[in-house]
Parts: sequence; C-alpha cells; structure tokens
Amino acid sequence: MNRSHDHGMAVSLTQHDRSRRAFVASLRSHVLQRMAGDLRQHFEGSVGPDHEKSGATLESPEAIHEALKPELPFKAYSSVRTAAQEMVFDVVSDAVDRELESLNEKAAQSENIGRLTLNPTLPLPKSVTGIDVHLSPGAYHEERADNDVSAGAVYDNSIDVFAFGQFGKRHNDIGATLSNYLRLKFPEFAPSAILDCGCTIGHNTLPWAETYPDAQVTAIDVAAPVLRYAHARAESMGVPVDFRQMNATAMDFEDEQFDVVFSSMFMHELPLKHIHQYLKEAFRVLKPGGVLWQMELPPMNAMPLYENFYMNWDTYYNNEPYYGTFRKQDYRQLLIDAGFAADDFIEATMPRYTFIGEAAFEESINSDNTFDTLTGRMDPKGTRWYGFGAWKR
Amino acid sequence: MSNRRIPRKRRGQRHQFFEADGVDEVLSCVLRLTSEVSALSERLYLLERVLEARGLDVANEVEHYVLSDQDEVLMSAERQRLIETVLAQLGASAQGAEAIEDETSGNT
Repeated sequence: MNRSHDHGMAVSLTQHDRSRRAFVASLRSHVLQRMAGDLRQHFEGSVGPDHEKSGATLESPEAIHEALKPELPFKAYSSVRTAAQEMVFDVVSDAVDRELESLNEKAAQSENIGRLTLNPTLPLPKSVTGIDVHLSPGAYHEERADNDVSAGAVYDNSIDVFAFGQFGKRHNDIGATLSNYLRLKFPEFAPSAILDCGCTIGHNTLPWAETYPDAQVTAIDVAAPVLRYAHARAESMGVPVDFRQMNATAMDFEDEQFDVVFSSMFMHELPLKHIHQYLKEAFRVLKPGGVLWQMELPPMNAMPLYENFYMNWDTYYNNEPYYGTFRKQDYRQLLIDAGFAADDFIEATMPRYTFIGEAAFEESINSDNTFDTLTGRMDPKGTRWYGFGAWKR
Repeated sequence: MSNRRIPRKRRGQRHQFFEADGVDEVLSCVLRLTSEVSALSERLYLLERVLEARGLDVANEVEHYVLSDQDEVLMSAERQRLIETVLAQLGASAQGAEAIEDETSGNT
C-alpha cells in the first residue's frame, strides 16, 4: 500500500484515500487559479468600470470586497473555496484515524538525536484555542489520547492536499528558500544557534539544519501534538532539532542566545498585541550580529490594490481573524518598535529555492524585489515568497 | 472503518455567501459527491487496466453478474457511508455521523 510521505510518521493510503486527496488538491488548484481568474476578470471588466461610471471609487480592499459580495463569481469562488478547505481536512483524517494508535506509539518511542521538551502547564493563548484556525476541526492543539500526535499528522497530510505540491516535496520550500537566501546573500554569516518560532510540525525548521549543518537548531510552538509529531518526524529523517513547548511571546531562553530567529506564516495568526510581544522577545534572544528573518504575507503597502482584497479573503472567511490587521502594519515600524534600528531592516521577495535550483535562485535574489500577483501566493507559474526582518547590532 | 476520533466538523457557523438558505451547503454536498464519483471512476479505471494486463475482458461478465446476500450487505453499507459523506454539512452532528458509522463497522 502507498505511504503518505517518505518519513517514519507516514500513514498508509488506500486507493480511495489517494483518489479523494487528488480530487481535493485539483479542486483547490481550480479555485485558486481558474475561479480566482474569473473573479478578477469580472472585477476588472465589469464591477470596477461600472462603479467608475456611476462616480463611485473603489480605493480600498474593503470597498472592493463590498462591491463584489453581491456578485455571482465572488459567491461561487467563496463558497467553493470554503467547501474545498473543509474537504482538505476531511479527506486526510480517515488515514490518520486508522493508524493513530501506532503513530502515537511510534512518536513516544522515537529516537533522540534531537530533543523534545514539553511543558504541560504552559497556558495556551485564546488566539490558538478560541477558533479552529484554517477551518481545521480541533485546530493544532487539541489532544485526544496520551502522547497524541493527531493534530500534527492531520496537518502534515493536509499540506499535501492544501498546497497541491506548491510547498515543495517535503513541505520545506519556505525554510529552504529563506535559509539559502541568508547563506548566499551573506556568505560571511555563520550562525551557530538558530531558532524557529511557531514551528508546528517542523517542516520549515529542518531545512535550516541542512543549510547550516554546524548550527544547533531549536524550534518552539505552544501546541504539544504538533511538537510530538515534529520531533518524531525529524528523528525519522535523521535531523537533530531541539523542539520545545514554549510561547514565542514569552520565551524561557536567556538573552542573546541565537544568531537567527526565524518564523514562517506565523505572525499573521497573532493578535497585534502578541506580535509586538513576540518581536520584542525575538530582539531579546538574538545575539548582537544576529538576524531576525521571517517569511510572511507581503504587507498591504507594497501590494497592488486588487491583490490586497484578494489576499485578505482569508481573514474574513478562513478563520484567520488577525491576518488583515497584521498586513496593514508598517513592518519596518513593527521592528523599530521592538528595538531594531530602521537602517537594519531587510526584506526580499524570493523564488522558490527547491523548485528552481541554486544558480537561478542566486541570480534572482540579486535582482530587485517584485510585488505582484505571484508574491506570497501559491501559484504553479512561479510563487515568490516574501521575507522580512532585521539585523541586531 | 475505524472510529472517527478526529472531529470532522469545525466549530462555529459556516459563512453564507448565497442569499438563499442552504445553497452553500448544497454546493458543498455536490463537491463531496463529486469527489466520491471521481474516486470511484479512478478505481474502476485502474481495475480495468489491471484486468486487461491479465488478459481479461470483464465488461460482459459484470453485465450478467448475480448479486449474493453478502454483496447486498456490503454494497448497502457502502451506500450508507457515501450518503453520510455527501450530506456531512446538512445538520447531522459529528456524534450522529459517528453513530451511523459504528453501525456499519466492519462492513466497509
């Protein structure tokens, strides 16, 4: 029988599982390419010009949103996208359910070339427990058995379907892209301690250990089930990572411990108050000469108007309520508020390292940043990830 | 089929995009149904290829096949599972869905 992944926490997939997963991946791709294209065309060819003729101006993402709400292409796109998102978790849960006991046992007995340290008394933030983020039933923290890894297993399996291959073969492209950007752009920089905040299953943590094999890699998250899974997954791949259950807004680490603080798709899930707390903590735990470097959604002030409307769909309809507020921020100012100097701000849009290879990647990162329809979006035509951060003097 | 320990329904109300009640849910049902039809079609396609590779043309045999009692039980259970999957958004609670699944345990 086929396995879901090429690591030790993979599950067996029946032909029925594989067909259903393939269908939902195709459906997601259809919604995000074809239906999204139809929606844009309807706006640019009809709704936008009609509003202009009537003297109304659509100068904000919110105005575009309101103008499109009554339109059939928006209703169809939104309704199908919602259903497809729900189906992602539905079609992967059967296979995880069937093997959950053995997965939990495997995780409990996994090797320890790295380490797993849980903190059962850690309070979970309401921003994590209060909603089923991404419409994922039970989200990433709920536990259903001793040593439960189900949330991690569902997440790993859901990425296969959700991202229809656009996150790379081991879902690691974001970590590979950002770590290799640092390596190629700053060849003198040789980090010895790297921290990943909000790591979930560690899929974007592991490439840091590959890019900087001499560095000690630590990864934190508040949710125990994803950390147990992350640890077992990393161990089965032979990658040593120190996973710890910890809140990035109040870390247990001493000051100035890390050369790199990294996160991916993390801040946009946090309330603004927690973003400020997290960035101050990141500044505190960074060594002088270290760098904060994170993959995120591109800021609204850099993106075209329609793209901002389109990207912000998730904040209204995908249980990601803090996403819109985050994108409205001036990212440089967020870092200045946390203690970084304005001149030390860095940002980049980068092609996907594992998709295009090192030579083309290096050439691309030495050209100007681009902010367009491929920035921060999953698109087989050529996604560019957005990264920003700052050096600590 | 194993017990479903991972919840299949998320917390909170679904968003309503179409004005008329139920349209979004019906669309969800149609998509779920389509996923099952797709899986079934693929199964059949693969089955035909496997048999063809063994030199068997089974189309005629299928047309004249007489169902056994066990066939009836298994096919009935599978129909029930399919109905549950397709109607997942139309009010059946997660508990209710599990209860129905348990009744068919061992048959799917």
